[in-house]
Amino acid sequence: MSSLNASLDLVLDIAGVEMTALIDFATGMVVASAGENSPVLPAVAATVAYEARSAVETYEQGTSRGELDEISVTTARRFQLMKVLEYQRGEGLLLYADVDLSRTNMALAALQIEQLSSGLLAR
Amino acid sequence: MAMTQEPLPAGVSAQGGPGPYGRLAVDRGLSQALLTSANAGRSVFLQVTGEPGGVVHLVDGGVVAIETPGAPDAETVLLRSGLIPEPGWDAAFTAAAASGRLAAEIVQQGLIGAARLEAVLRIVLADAMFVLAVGRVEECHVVDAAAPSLLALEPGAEPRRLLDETSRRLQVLAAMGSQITHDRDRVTAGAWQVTSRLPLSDSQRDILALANGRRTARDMAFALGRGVFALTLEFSRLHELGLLVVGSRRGGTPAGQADRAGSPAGPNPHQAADPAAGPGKDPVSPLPRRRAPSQPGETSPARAPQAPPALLRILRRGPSGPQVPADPEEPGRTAGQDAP
Amino acid sequence: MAKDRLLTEMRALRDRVVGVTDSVLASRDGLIIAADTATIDPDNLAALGAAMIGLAQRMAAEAGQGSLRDSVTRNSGGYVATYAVGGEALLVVLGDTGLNWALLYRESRSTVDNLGNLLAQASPRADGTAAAAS
Repeated sequence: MSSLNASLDLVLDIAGVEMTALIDFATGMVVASAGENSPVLPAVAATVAYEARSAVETYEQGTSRGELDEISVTTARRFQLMKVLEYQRGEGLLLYADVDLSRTNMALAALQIEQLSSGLLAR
Repeated sequence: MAMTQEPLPAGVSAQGGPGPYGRLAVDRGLSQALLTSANAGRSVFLQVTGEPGGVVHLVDGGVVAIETPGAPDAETVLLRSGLIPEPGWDAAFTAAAASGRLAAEIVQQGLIGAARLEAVLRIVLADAMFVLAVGRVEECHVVDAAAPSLLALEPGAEPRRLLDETSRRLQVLAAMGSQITHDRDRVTAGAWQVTSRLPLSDSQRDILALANGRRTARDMAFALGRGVFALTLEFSRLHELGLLVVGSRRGGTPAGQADRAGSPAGPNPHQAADPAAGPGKDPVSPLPRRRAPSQPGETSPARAPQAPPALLRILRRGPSGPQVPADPEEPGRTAGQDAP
Repeated sequence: MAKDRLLTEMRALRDRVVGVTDSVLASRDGLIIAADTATIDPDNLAALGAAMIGLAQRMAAEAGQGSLRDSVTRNSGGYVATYAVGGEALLVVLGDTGLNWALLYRESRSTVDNLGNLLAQASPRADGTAAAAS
């Protein structure tokens, strides 16, 4: 029984979440996924990770050190959230969730995902 | 999951063609051997000879572990990254002696979450499959699995997915036009003065600090406890920025499965021919040498020419042998350190 | 130059065997002859290596197990392999955790041979004259 898949299933239980995946920050690889089987997920994951790496490159400068927390993309009907679960010195894990806004609203989905995310990898 | 044409990530430009990775492909023999074992649901060891070569452990048709010198194993990654402290590891190792299931023991002892460990194992597996499948494969022998693997992913990963991920990685590297080959090109921090004002990430600084001309992406992966593919991406980016240069290439083994571009045949402005070096051996770079682990921005002055070697002085002198004249340099020291 | 040839041999070993990171050639009394190293202190390695070889050979004898082949220290962060080079010198080879130390032993035989020959060529002859500088 995959612990990772069990964790992702919890995210899938959140109203509106159509698909969720754990993405390797450094390689853009889909480590695990749950929900609708999208053939473009590998490409999306690679792009998401690339954006995250670019952001870190910008934010991790000497003086203004910020920590990337999340990136989100909102359209009229969908909300895509990429949350940094862990990151340190080039290695990290991103949680990606694809949310259908006809079934929930952005704030609620984000909150529920936030509540789950901290314990996701500890199971 | 069907493979689709990957769009180039926004902002990435091909560096003048696909580079060496444009000519590489997943080894067919390995691919076939893996998929056959997968379909049959077999529990076997797939011994792969070549460079780097390795052994793929399969349980019920799923890949549970891969041993290869070409990429860091899970233990190296877990310990080097600090995810698991060493004493904890040793304790779990001892306790797992009875069950033979180290992964379960590590989680049992509360050292790391099961999901977190599984993520590491999956990531390490994908990296190992990448280096194995795009490396030189001579033969694949299927043998019955002997002892169960100590640190195994349960359930095992689908070989099809691992191979698809390897193909994806090749596409990414080809699209980036990565000029740096992960197992051959030794990198040095470029001659540019790197200031702390440049928007470099911590990861990039770590890499530049270790780029002393002796390490390939594979070597640096072991040194940092990170993935080979991940570092190849970083190398490519830093190379593009002019912060990383190829100092020399490993030439000891025969050429890979396909022609590799960027062969040492052409003149490389960052390499100098070393008249003392034998044919095909690493030239000594004339660039200012970086003292590791210095901060980016510091470069040491080029080494001053040394007096003739004090070799004879070290060796046993005969009872009536002549005294070798004292060498102005420090006794016992010979030149050649830090050479790539 | 003989010294460069020693280094060429040592670098060739590093080139041939994936995972080798550094090597040091030392005399039996712990002095450096040549070092293919980066950040590691070759002096300390030479001194420790000499002690290691001596102990390892005595251990082999004490255990009644014939002659020493290699002495490998296996650490959480890599390997240190020590080989005798003739009767007068020794080679210390460092590798990362990906090193196959059994393969290293096989691959290092020609290196050890060549190093031994190079050192023998450079040593003074019994009649007191030195061999011609290479």
